[in-house]
Amino acid sequence: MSAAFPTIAEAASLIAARRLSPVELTRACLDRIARLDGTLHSFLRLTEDRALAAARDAEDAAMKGTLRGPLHGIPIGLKDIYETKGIATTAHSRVLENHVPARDAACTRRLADAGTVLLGKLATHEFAFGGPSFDLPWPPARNPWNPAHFTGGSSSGTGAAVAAGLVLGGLGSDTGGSIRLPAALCGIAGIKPTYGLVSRVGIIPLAFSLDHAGPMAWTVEDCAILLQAIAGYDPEDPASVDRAVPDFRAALGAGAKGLRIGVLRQFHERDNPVNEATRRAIDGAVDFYRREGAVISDVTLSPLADWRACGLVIILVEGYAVHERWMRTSMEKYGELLRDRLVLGALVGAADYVQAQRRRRELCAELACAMDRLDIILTATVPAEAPPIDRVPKWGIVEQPNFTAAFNVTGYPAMSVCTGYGDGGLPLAMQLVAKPFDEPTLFRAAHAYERAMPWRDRRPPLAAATAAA
Amino acid sequence: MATPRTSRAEFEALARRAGLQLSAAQTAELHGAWGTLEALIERLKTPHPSTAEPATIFAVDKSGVP
Repeated sequence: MSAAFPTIAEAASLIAARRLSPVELTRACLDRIARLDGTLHSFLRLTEDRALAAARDAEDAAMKGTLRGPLHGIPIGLKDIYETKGIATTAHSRVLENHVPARDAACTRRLADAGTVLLGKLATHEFAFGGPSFDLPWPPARNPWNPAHFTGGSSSGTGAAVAAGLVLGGLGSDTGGSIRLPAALCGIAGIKPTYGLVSRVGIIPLAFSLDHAGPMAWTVEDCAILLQAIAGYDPEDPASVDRAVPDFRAALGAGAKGLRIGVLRQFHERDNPVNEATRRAIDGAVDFYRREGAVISDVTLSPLADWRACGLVIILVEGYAVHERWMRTSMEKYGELLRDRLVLGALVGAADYVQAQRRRRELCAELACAMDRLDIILTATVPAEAPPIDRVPKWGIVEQPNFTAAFNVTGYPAMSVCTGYGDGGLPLAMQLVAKPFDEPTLFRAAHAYERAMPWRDRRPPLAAATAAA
Repeated sequence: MATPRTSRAEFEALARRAGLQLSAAQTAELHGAWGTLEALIERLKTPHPSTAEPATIFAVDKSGVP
């Protein structure tokens, strides 16, 4: 870590010790945004005045010793599908270009209650499903490690802004991988929590039974801090589970000894073989865990194509149900990519949707059985480094199996962690999965690896240059 | 992309039934993508016992709300 790029945990300690001013920290982020975001396009809109007012309040609290916790005074951003009272929430779409919500999403409110400083609303793929698109009112976000390359999506702006140090953390959403994919391609940490742990109220939906809200940050620990603030029962969310929220940082530092880790080689070596750099990085992580005393075994599940088929049919059909009214009356307002994907959802038969939900129950039972003897499953998040943004195939979502959707289908908590850098300096990643509501073990495993590796010492060159200047 | 089993005319009928106005170019491209999706849908048609429940089955709580 460095003084120019403090993590949330580091900044919180410094603020509490009155060695870092939340106002100065906020101004530093705003200055970096001014210098870099003309290239990165990670923000759709800034809330600078509100941010500085919130930072001043945090500074007062620090001086009076009344800080609310580790997020008080921390600059963050929200994917632009989180409703923000009085601040436009557009889902990066012409369809909602003038939508100004009357109230905050539950997560927006919880982060505000924790004292975060909201710097603004972040780019997304259109309605969290159509991107990268070049025919929307705002351009797609660019990867800070190389702006000619894709960020991954759909939480593209959050991934780019966190990696470049424009914010210290933020929220994304994940319906088929939309937190973990940009986390992987932008070289940060991102967790899709267990379905039902974090309220979805006030988040513009994509597919109700697959949508998850979760944090993205530079480190695993920072994700744990953010999740602590947003997790918990919400009676307004019918999927919300009423159970005690554990201390997500309690097991950090406990190491990997004794963890039972199943390596899902079938996914990343056979069903969708990853490139050489990604495979080497994953093998290196497995070797690390073995050296640390974890118990390593192989695990096998149904073919990746089965998980993809199940997840894709559900996302397309539920997604079309959300958009049916607008698609029938104002289809021209959509970008081409989302519009065409949604059309496919309109044509899937009702019986096929039910078959997908029947298959889903079988797949959930299968994963539960496999996890019975494991604490963690380890596989890839993405097959390779970020591709050039102009070479992302339009129908990749239908044609290419991904590694992440399986854990939306089952609702299990899953996290992407940086595993180094490949050719051209673009990040590599792995995915870790834990049992439902066992985020503490997921954070423990991810943190054990992360703190032993040097990957967090390196920032994208264009961001690092702002620190040197 | 996989070759669609649904004919172009059948595909157009599906779109009309959904109330969607597609251009000729859109129809041509989407018909191709539909073939790939059809192949995925076939994978879901594994022989379930007739009693196999979908994942969306719910339990009613005391308030009468699922």
